[in-house]
Order: sequence, then C-alpha cells, then structure tokens
Amino acid sequence: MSITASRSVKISPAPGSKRAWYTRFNWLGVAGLIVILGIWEIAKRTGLMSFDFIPAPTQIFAAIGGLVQEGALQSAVLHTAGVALGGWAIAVVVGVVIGVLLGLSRTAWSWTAASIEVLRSFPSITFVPVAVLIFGFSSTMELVVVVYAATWQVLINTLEGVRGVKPGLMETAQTFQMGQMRRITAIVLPAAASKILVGLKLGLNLALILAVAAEVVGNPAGLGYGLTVEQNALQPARMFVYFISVGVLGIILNAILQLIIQVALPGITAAAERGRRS
Amino acid sequence: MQPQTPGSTAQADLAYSAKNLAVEVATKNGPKRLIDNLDFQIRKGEIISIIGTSGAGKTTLLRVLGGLLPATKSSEVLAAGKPINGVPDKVLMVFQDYASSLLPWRTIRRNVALGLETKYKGKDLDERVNNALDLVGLRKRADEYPWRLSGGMQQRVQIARALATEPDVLLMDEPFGALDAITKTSLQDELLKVQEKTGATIIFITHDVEEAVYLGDRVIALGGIPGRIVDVFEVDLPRPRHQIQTKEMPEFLHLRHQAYESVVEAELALRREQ
Amino acid sequence: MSHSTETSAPTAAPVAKAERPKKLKRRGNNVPLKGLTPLVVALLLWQLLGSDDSPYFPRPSTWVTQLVDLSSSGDLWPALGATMRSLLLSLLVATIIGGILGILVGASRFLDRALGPTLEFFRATPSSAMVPIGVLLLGYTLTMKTSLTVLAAIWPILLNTRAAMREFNPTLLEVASVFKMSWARKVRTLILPNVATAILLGIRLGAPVAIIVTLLVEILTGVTGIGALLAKSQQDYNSAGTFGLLVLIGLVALLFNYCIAAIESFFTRHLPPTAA
Repeated sequence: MSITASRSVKISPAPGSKRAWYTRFNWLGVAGLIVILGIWEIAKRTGLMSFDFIPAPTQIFAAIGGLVQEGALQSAVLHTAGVALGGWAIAVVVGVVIGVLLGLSRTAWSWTAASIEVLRSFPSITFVPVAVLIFGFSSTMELVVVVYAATWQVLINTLEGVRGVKPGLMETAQTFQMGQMRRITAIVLPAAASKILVGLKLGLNLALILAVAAEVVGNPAGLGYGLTVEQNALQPARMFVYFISVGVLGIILNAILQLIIQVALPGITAAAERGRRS
Repeated sequence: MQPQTPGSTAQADLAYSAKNLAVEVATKNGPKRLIDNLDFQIRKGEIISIIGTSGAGKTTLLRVLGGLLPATKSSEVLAAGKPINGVPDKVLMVFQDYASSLLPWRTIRRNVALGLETKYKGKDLDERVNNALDLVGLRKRADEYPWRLSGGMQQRVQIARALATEPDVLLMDEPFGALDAITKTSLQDELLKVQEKTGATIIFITHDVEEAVYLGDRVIALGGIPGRIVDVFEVDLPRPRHQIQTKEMPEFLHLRHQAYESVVEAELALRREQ
Repeated sequence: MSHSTETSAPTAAPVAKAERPKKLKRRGNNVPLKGLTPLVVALLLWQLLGSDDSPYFPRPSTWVTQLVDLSSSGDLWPALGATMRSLLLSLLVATIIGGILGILVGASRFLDRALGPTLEFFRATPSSAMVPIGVLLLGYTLTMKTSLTVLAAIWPILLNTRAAMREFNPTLLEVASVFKMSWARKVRTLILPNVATAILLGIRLGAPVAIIVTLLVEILTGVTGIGALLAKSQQDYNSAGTFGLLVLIGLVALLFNYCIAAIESFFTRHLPPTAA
C-alpha cells in the first residue's frame, strides 16, 4: 500500500478533452473481466469447481440460443421491461407533481413530512404480500408494486430538490414578480433538476428490482418468473441467462433514461452540475 | 431626531412616501419591532444612500420598499402614490449575494433576459438584452455561464438584469459590499452613469460611509433597535462626481464627517438602550 | 449565503428564529411532529369506517389482535429474532469484506481499474434476481440469506472506503512528513480514522439495503424470519395478520435505521454536518 502525496494530486483531463477514445476506454477492466471468466471456465472444465449448479460460461452462452429460439427470453424481457418502464413513468408524473407541491408550500410540508418519513422507511418489498392479497397473482399486482415503490423514490428526491432551492433564487423570482407557474418552470425545476434526476434514476432501478421480485413471488410472466421456472426445473445455465438478462436490462434502461434526458433537456445535466458547484 | 423632508412635494413626483413606517415580527416573547416611526419622502430620480449600524433595520426597510416584507397596519407607505401590496410595479431589487440570485444554469444573456422574456420576444428581446449588457459593459461575455465570471462581473450581471426591465426604482442591498476596492470604484461610477442615462430612482444600502456620500443625493442614517432615522442630510456636491476630485473637496470631507458622526451617534444610542 | 448583517427580519413568514414548533429529533432533518397527522387520521378513519370482516382491508384493531395471536402462539418473536440476527451478521460481514475491498481498490489504481467492470456488474444486478440463483446454489439456508444480503449491502461500504482512500487530503500527508511520522504511525493516526469514518457512513447507508434484501429473501423464499411470516400470512389469506406484520416490520426498520444513524453520528460528531 503506497500512498504518496503525488498520487493524490490528480490532474485529470478536463471533461470533453480531446484524448482518443481508445486511451480512455478501460482496457484493463475488460481484461480483468475476461480473466475472471476464463478462470471460471477452466475451473469448471477441470473439475476444480464442481458445484453442479454453477454452469460454465460457455454453457450459459449455449443456453441463450435455446431460450431465444423458444421465444421465451424475448417475451420475458419485454414483459419485465414494459412493466418497469410503464410503472416508472406513472411514478415520475405522480412523484414530481406531489414533490413540487409539497416542496413549495411550507404548510403542506409541515403537515405531511413526518408521515412521509415514516412511510418511506417501510421497505417496499414488504408491500408485495399486501399487493398479492389485494390483486392476486397478476400483472396488475406487479404494476401496483412498481408504481408504489418508484413513486416514493421520485417524490422524496423531488421534495428534497425543491426544498433545497436557494432562497436567493426564490427572492429573485419574487422581485421579478413571477407568477406561480413561471416560478416553477423557470426557477424551481431547473434549480432542483439534479436532485430530481437522481430520483428518476433511482426510481427506475427500483422499478426493475420490484418488477422482478413481484414476478418471482407470483406473477407468471417476465424475467423473474423465468428465473423461478428454471430454478424449479434445475436448469442452472438457463437460470443464469435470465439472471444476466436482468442485469443487462438494467444497464439498457439506464442508458435509455440517460438518452431521454439528453434529448429532452439538452445541457441540463451539465448546467445542473455547474449550478451545484457554483 | 426626526428631521422632516422639505415641503410637501406632489405625490406624483414621489417615488416613495412613508409616514410612521414600522415593521413588526412575531417572536416567542411577543411582537418585536424591527424598525419604527420612519417618516420620509423620496423624489423620483433621487439617489438615496442608507447607512447605519448593524441591526438597525436597513435591509428591513429596503425589503418593505421592495414589497418583500409587509409593514405594520398603522404604517402609511406609498410607492408612486399607491399603497404597497406585494412587489410594486417597476421596482426591482438587487441582492447582496449575487451568486445566489443569478440562475447558474442560464448564460449571462439568458439571465439578463429573465425579467423580459415573458413580455418581449425575438429581435425586440435581443435588443433590450444587448442594451442592458452594454450599460454594464458585459456584452462580450454574454454567452458564458455565471460561474466563469468574477464576483464583480456577476454583480454587474445582476444589475444589468435589473436594468433591462427599465425600472423606475432600483433597490440595492450592499451591492458592492463583497467586492475589492478597485472593482468597487469602477462599479460605483458605472452606476452613476446608468442613473444619469435612465433617470431611475436608486435606493441603496451601504456600510461604506464614503460610498454613501459619493453616490448619494441624500443620505439617510438609521440607528438603534428598533431602527429609527437618526439623521437625514442632503449631499450638495456637484455632478458628475469624480473619484478623486470630488473626494478632495472640503464639502465632501464635511459631509463624510457628518455621516460618520450620525453612525457613531446611532451606535451610542444603541449602547444606551441596551 | 452571505447575509447583510442586519437581516433580522426573515423573508417569508415573520416568525423569528426563537420560536420553533415541536420537532422530531432526527439527525440533520428537523421534521415537525404534526406531520404525523395524515397518518393518524387515515388510521382512525380506517378503524371507524372499516369492518372486521373485509377480506382486503380489515380494520387496524384486527391487526393488533392478529399480532397478539402470533405472539402468543410463539411464532412472532423467534421470527423477528432470526431476522435481526441474520441482519446483524450480514452487516458485520459486509463491513469486513467491503472495508477490505474498499481499501484495496482505493489504494491501488491497478486493482481499481482491473476489477472495476466486474464489480460494477455485480453491483448493477438487482438483488431480487439474485434470489433464485442463491437458492439454487446454497439452498434455503441462513448462508444463502446472509450471502445475498452481504452482496447487496457491501456497496455503500466499499464505495465510501474507496473514496476515502482516493480523496485523502494531500496536505495531511505533508503534515506527516513535517512531523517525520513513521509509516505505522501515519497509518494509525491519519489513515485509519479517515477510513473508519468512511466505513461508518457506508454502514449507515448500507443498513437500509441490508434490511430490504434480508426481508426480500425471506419473503421470496420462506427462509426463517419475519419476512417469511409475512409471506405465510399472505398465503393463508390472513389479511389482518399481513397488515399487522407489515406495520411491525416497518416500525422495526425505522427503529433500526435510527439506531444506526445515532451510532454513526456519535462516532462522527467531530465532523461538520454533511449531506450523505
């Protein structure tokens, strides 16, 4: 462990620097990943790792083919993605609207904040059994669970963001005699943007987690269900395919979100960063 | 000491007129007066400097004039002849903390446009923004973001933003307090030029007694808790003012002396009350 | 925000600082107690307007009855105990592994970049998807529950430790050289406290995650614990019991997080308040 002063003084290249992409890409990391996969494969082949239930990477690849052929993988992905995204979209609208309303009104906030604090501590997963009781084993149940969990996340972050708008900005709005709507669109939302976006991102990830969880518990559709089916059929390779699909789906969804943000609000993330630093 | 302002000028010529102006807030131990019993009149186009001890209510007074804080019911305060209800028309406030009042996600240009964009569009808007930027000499940096600019420039942006709306009254809370000496003097002169061009009424708070005399037509000194007017005097120095020539005039020294004295007297009055 | 020295009059409502309504004592966040009203009112309305027999929405009083039943039948407290034990065990293991990994990855750029994507992948995978795999590999055991929880809760600890290692204040190192500190002394007096603080913060952030995943595993797999009891309630169509357990779990989670936060703030009370 060598800690030298020179190492701590990092001169990182400025964002958007003109370094070629191949120097910025983490080749070492990819190499590390490949090495680990390689070790895994070898351990399996030579019998070093005899866990029957951990398949070799090659077996997993093979299983992908099978599942795709049956169409099972695609429909599962579409289902889970659909519920997660759809539920998340609803959560965003509800969460942001309520978050802004509560954030702007001191009275409304003081009469509800404690309740929100209490309710948010209830792990969202514990509402799944309740949802199953009420909605049975259905996609409605799954959607309800996703919406419930994601809304809290978005709401709390939006609330924090709105309440964190610097008083100087609000006074500027006042002195320019801005109406409520304009104040919200021109001052509050941009100022709270970075926190709200964090809420959106966390909400999306939460939506995926809960969609899969709901599917495992009882909705016969989607990646979670696929996992359960293959688990019961003792098909580890296929299970891993579903498992990896969930991870990949998560990455794709996050990338889509990032894309949406860049397209709909160009420069907002950069501006929000600057605003946070200034 | 409650000196009266000369004569009763017609309401139409007055930017502000106040009688028995007081501000009260609710506290655990009952209502507390922040300022009390203020009588004054401010003519249109005047430059008024407000000085005084800490806690004497200078900012409170400015906020009342800006419509950001209500006065007590027994106060009578009119802005351009009308009672103050919310922010009065064509009155704008420039805050001391410029960093917190500029919108960091907007360029300088778009910041200056803030007060205009609902009323004007396109070329009209651009022209007005450019004019305001020219007034403070920041046209060249219009497309940058506030964080890139120095403190003095940011404050200029805030001023340009206010001026762009062509206000009748500009209220400034220690606008140059956070700036270094050289930036301060150049901004002072810019402010004077702007006022000459636009004829706006300017009411500003400052801790710098010299600045108060240098810029103002009249100086109002507040003191004591609750804050009261301890002195009002005219600054009879010729315009245009010069940083060097004006400050060497005997009249300037005399007025500066008077201003310091009023602040000191207010400080003593404060100690006596405590 | 730099205030003019006499901003004694607040801008919005003229309520001077001296007067503060009753608040919940919570670290950093001061939330007025009256905010509990909507919750209380909702519960009261439910109690008054609901019925005991409703299959989906039984009255709160029925929840209490069910909980008491579960308690007297000897199911409730052992289950809660099992959950708490596995929770604490998981947090302990997560702290050790997360701390060590964090130090390694924080100190060595090489390791950081080499292990980066692999770690990222594990971090990105939703815990709920891990559960069936965990069951397949380790069965319905405490080991499985602990492993999955550790896997999820490790990240805040690891990341915070890593950050603390990498953002080590270079001036402190210069202070060390000026005082001619030995390597061992440097580690003991400068680095370890810094890392310890980061680990504590990581634990505070990781505790809610640990709770969630522990419960998740219990609910999804029926491994012993209060979550399993909850799932069983639902399977038996015992709505009152389900709601009752839900509230109980929520309150326990609230309490647990509060205690961890209190411990963390006790040990970091020398630090200025920061937003986590």
